[in-house]
Formats: sequence, C-alpha cells, structure tokens
Amino acid sequence: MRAGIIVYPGTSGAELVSLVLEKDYGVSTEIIWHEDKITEDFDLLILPGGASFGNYIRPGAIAAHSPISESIIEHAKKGKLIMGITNGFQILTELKLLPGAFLPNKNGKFISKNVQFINVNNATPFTCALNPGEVLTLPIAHHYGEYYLSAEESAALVMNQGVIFNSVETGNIVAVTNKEHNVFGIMAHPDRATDPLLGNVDGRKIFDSILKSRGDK
Amino acid sequence: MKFQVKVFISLKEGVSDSEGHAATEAVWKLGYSTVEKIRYGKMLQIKLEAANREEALKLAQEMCQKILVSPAIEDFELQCSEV
Repeated sequence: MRAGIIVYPGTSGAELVSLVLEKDYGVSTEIIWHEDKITEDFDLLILPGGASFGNYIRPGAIAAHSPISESIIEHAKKGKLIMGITNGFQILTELKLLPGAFLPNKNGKFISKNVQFINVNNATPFTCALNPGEVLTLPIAHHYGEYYLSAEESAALVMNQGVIFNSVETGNIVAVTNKEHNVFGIMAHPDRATDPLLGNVDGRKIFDSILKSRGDK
Repeated sequence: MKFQVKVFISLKEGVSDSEGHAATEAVWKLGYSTVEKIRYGKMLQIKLEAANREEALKLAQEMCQKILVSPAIEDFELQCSEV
C-alpha cells in the first residue's frame, strides 16, 4: 500500500501521519507539495491538519485552489481513498468533495481537548474495524469546528449514510464521507492518538480500518 | 481606469453567529433596548484596473464566486466607485 500526504504552507500534521503509517503499519508514504502534480497511482491520499495558508479567507479556501487540487479530484473520481484530518476536512469541503462549510466554534475559542465520538456507520473503508456504535476518544484542536450543512445537504448526507461520527457531548456531526464512502473528513486527530505513550490509541481504529478495507490486515 | 469595489460579506440568515450574538447582548447591557439583532460580517476593498464600471463589477463578482465568498454560509453585495 502506498499513501500520498499533501502539504500546504501551514500544514503541520504531515510528518506525524507519515510516521504512523510507516512505523506502525508498514505503509510507504510520500509527502507531496501542493504545487506539484500527483503522478503516482496512490492507494490513499491524506490531507493532514494544520491551518493551511493561515486559514485566511476561510479555512481551506486558498488551499482548494492549489495546483494539486486537480489530482485530488481525479483520485476521488477513481474511487480511491482520501482522508481529510481537520483542516484537510475543511479543504475537502472547499473542493466540494464533501458537503458543508465551517464556522468558528460557538464559544469563539480555539478548542483543544479530548472528545468522545460515537460511530454512526461502520460500513466504510475508514470505520470497518469498529463495532456498530463504538465510541472513540479523539483529540480535537481547532478554531473553526462548527460544521454547517444546509437543510438539503443534511438530508442528502443522511440518505447517503454519510454521517460517520457524532459528538457524544453535543450530538453534532463531526465526521462524514461522500456518497461513495471513499472520501472521508474528520474534525479530530486520529493521528495524535496512535501510541500508548500518548495515553490514547483510539485513533488506530481509523488506520486499522483503512488497512482492513484494503485487505492488508 | 482604476476602481475600488467594496465587497460586503454577511452570514446567511439562520447561520449561527456567536460574535454577533455577543455584540447584541453587549449593546443591550448599555441600554440600547431597541436593538433587535447585530450580525457580524466583513468588508473587503478590491482596488483594480478595468475598462469600465461594469467590467470592474463583473471581475469582483467572479472573484467572490470563485474564492472570496462561501456560498454555503455567506451572501455578498458589491459597491463600485472610480478612484
């Protein structure tokens, strides 16, 4: 399995995602600059967290107009896997690969804490290693975390079984997929919850799922 | 010709605006009880070269639709003047 990890100015999660995939899962990775084209046929693309372009205009707005976007959209159309972690999720909505948009957190603050996520759909490549209704504790770290969907988008998302995780505390949607379930966005950091030294390995379930879905585990 | 296009961006009705909510509460506390609601937005000033006013507005409109405004949550209005 080969994974491409995309880096924009401001992206901060690429090295960690690469380390997790390479060291823990034996997946070979390549870090790709946003101005480059993707020439290789990767199995998985990851858009990591970190405020790309300083979140100017809106989170993800400038990144979505990077030269690499064409390759990302092409990869999605082929049915291959894409995971967007926090800012990566925001970029995927700006690319229209996932529905909705993001507003600042209701309390106006940057929130960094552990949050319980309840799984709503485990029949996706990103959640197939989870039991139905399984709860994961994952770290969140964002200022623009209020996921907004119009009534139409919300209805379509529910119909397509694209709601993947809800927050246990608020009931809000915190992770979704597209209709085909090959593009996944999550407002949390599974990559930061993969090592017992960090006191939490719940994030491994997401990476376990990806490998399981590929028949690699 | 040089133009300045002002872009007024507001949150769509129904989109939550905690900053606007806090501002509303704040002016109520100052006694402005006739205030119904304050909504936050932003204003951009685009200085650009264009053949005429129509072209300046057309270009600004395009920029808003392509990147400056999120149609899912925001509305915008343009105001153009020659500078």
